[in-house]
Amino acid sequence: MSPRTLFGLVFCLLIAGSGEAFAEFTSVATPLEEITQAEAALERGAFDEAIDRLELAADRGVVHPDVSYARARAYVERARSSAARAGDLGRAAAALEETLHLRPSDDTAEKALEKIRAEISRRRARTGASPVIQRPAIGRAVADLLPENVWAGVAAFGALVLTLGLSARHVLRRRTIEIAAAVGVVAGLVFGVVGGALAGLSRYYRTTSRPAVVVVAEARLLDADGRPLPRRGESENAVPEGALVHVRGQADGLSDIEWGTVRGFVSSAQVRLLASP
Amino acid sequence: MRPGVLAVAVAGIVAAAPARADAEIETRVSARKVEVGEPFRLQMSVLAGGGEKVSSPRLAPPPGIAIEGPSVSTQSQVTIANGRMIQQTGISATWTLLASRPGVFRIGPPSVEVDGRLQRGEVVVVEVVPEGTGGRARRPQRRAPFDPFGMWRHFDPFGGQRFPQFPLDDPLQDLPPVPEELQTSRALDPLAFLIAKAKPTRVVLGQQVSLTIYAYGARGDFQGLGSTEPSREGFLAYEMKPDERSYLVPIDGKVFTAKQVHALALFPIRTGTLRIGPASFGFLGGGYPRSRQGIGLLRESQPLEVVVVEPPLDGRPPGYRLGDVGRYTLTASVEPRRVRQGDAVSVVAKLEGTGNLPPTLVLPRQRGVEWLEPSTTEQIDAERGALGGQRTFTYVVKLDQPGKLDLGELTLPYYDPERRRYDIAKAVLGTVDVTPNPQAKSNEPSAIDPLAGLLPPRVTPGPEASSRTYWADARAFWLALVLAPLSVLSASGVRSLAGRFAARRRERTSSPEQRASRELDLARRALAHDPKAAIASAERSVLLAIENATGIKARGLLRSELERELLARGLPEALARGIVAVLDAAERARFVGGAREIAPELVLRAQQIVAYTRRGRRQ
Repeated sequence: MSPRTLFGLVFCLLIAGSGEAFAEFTSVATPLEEITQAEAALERGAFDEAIDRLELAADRGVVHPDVSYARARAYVERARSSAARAGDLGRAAAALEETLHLRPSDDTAEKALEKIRAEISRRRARTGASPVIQRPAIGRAVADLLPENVWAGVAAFGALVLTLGLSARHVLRRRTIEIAAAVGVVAGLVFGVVGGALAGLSRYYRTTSRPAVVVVAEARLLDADGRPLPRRGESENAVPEGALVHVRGQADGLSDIEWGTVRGFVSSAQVRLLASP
Repeated sequence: MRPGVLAVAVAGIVAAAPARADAEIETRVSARKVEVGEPFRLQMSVLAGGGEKVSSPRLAPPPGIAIEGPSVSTQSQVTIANGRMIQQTGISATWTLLASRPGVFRIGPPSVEVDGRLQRGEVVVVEVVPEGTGGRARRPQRRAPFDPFGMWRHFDPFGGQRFPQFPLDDPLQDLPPVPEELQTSRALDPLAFLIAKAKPTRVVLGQQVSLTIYAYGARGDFQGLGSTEPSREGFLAYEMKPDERSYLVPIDGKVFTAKQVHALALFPIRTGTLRIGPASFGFLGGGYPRSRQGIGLLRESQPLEVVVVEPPLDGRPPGYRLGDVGRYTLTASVEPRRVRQGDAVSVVAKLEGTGNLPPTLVLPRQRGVEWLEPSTTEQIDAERGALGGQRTFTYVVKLDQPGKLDLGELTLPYYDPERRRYDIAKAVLGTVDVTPNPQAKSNEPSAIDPLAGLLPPRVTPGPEASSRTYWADARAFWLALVLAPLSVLSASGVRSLAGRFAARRRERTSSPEQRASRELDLARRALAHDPKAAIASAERSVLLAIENATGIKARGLLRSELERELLARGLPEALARGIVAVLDAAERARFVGGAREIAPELVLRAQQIVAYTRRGRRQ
């Protein structure tokens, strides 16, 4: 073999080797691959590896309800092990909230989320912390009763009934039809206004805030300058682990959050924003 | 013993002394008597044998004395004695001191490490008198012929110098060429100023930013007093030893004395545009005015901004933690390699490299292997401006499963900003033989774990979450919502308006006046071919004209009554008679004949009556 041929062969091998190593870092796995690799790691007790892999997938923009579910599972498994870290259950709750955000019909995730929140409360109680009950903001509570598109559908239905009622009233002059048309006009008006208002409110909440979950044992509420808010009565002014909050903006390492009727800032590292489809 | 024998014995002891003799240390103070607030300097000069390392000069000041420094310079001396060349190297450490109250103070002794051995200088005694009582007077400012800029006029505290390389002997001699980073095109202040430089100013999270503060003084050498470091929120900071050598830098036709006064290695811990605040420095020296607080001529550096971004997502390996930036190597050892089930092995991992050494490694956790929290030791220093060193992690690893256990590998994924790519430092741990031990406790979670089986594995993923379309985002939705009922209302309104318009129009076209005109037109058109029809139309037009003018339905009245009624309604008598005459003539023509003859006249009369009644009504 001539030296030139040998050099070429070595060069090709080097290129192939470096390409393989590079591909290991750069390739973005499919959700199925991510889940399979994470499950394999969980199976042998390598919780950190599973979590690292799934977190990296999330960072790279892999959005899939079952990948979020697998992440929740990895955090729960680590929380159960001797390698448990503070905030594992909060992160599991965040992953399950994300699963439900992406697939609202996931009953397993919903039940698991309830149990995890109950476990967080139980552990808080064991450390002497008082249970936190936060009243939801009335506007958000009403708007969240139904999905936004359902409110929009109600509004559209109302508008349709109102239109038909008005048309009938003006076109058909019979007494019985006039009564039915008047009822339709009133009902359509109510449906249209209520549905439209709540569809608009839902849209406002959706476009001005993002759901997030507290992933530390307790997120202290701060003012805009990062100073702790003073206590108000019995209120601890701290958001417990696993609580769902809505982030209205982020700047300088602080997140402006809405937690029920409470507004304040927390460190951005203390909350995890949920991915949207 | 005779004296001669004793002398020989002593000489022998000296000759047998260890080759590493104590270093030559001289301690000097610039003044034995100073006033409160008057700075003075204490200098320790150390000369050791060639090859010996002289380091860590220290001085603990007594209460009531503030201290700044030391500024350290290196020196070397070559002496040729009896044909032998003796080379000595060492340092000169100078502290600037300031007394805040009167009294007699014992200062020192200063200490220094010579090849790891601690050696001490001498204690100096300084008397501090109240301000204004020491007879301190300003000497006339006469410039020495070798000092055209007056830079060295303020200070000659030690008189004759024993050390030939001492920097104050001849300040203009042996000054190194001006480094590039000290060169500046313009002086920010004619007397003294500071310049802060950060390098680089765009970094990834965790990458080192070297911050250096340079001081420039136009009135000769200076020391620093009352200096403060810059604020640096969002950074971890490590103090670096500044290069305290002075340089003469020509700026704007003047010669400034310039030197580094602060050097920091900063590591950003959050992303965004981070601000480095101003540093302050008190210029202390004979040519510089002092502030009231006695802290020298205070100057501030300009603030700086550093843009911090996350390292790229492309190529990021699993387990990478934001902030792990630099270049590292990892080695590890495991002891012992054979243990009983439930016992532990020790894993010692040594991480070396440049950068802010990461505090944790990625552990190869697996079932039956429990890694306890490590103990760490570290040795961090700066080499050529880059922070680095080594950190040793000692783990206790409990092994609960019997068999030949592969521990895997310790890893540290990091981002190398110089090569702009990720890399992984790895250390393979190898295998450990774990012999069975029936008494070993299981480390499995307890059966009453409320989270057990909470989330069963999902091996086959379900459908992806499709991106949602929200109706409320579409403007057409809101338009349709409002416009659909509004369009019906509008149509209804338009229809109503049209109806009203048509009704009014109908009303207008069926008025007696209009109808009278219409009948008159018919009469005129019928004159040529149908005189009877013309007379009938003329008669109708007159009746309508009466109705229009008076409201009387004339067809229902007798002729005699008609005339009376017309007069009663205020019509002129001639007109009333004319009307009755026209109606009579029309009746006669209808029943008697002669229509052709009288028709034109009748139509003309009818036309006049209609015109008259129309006019009269309008008036």
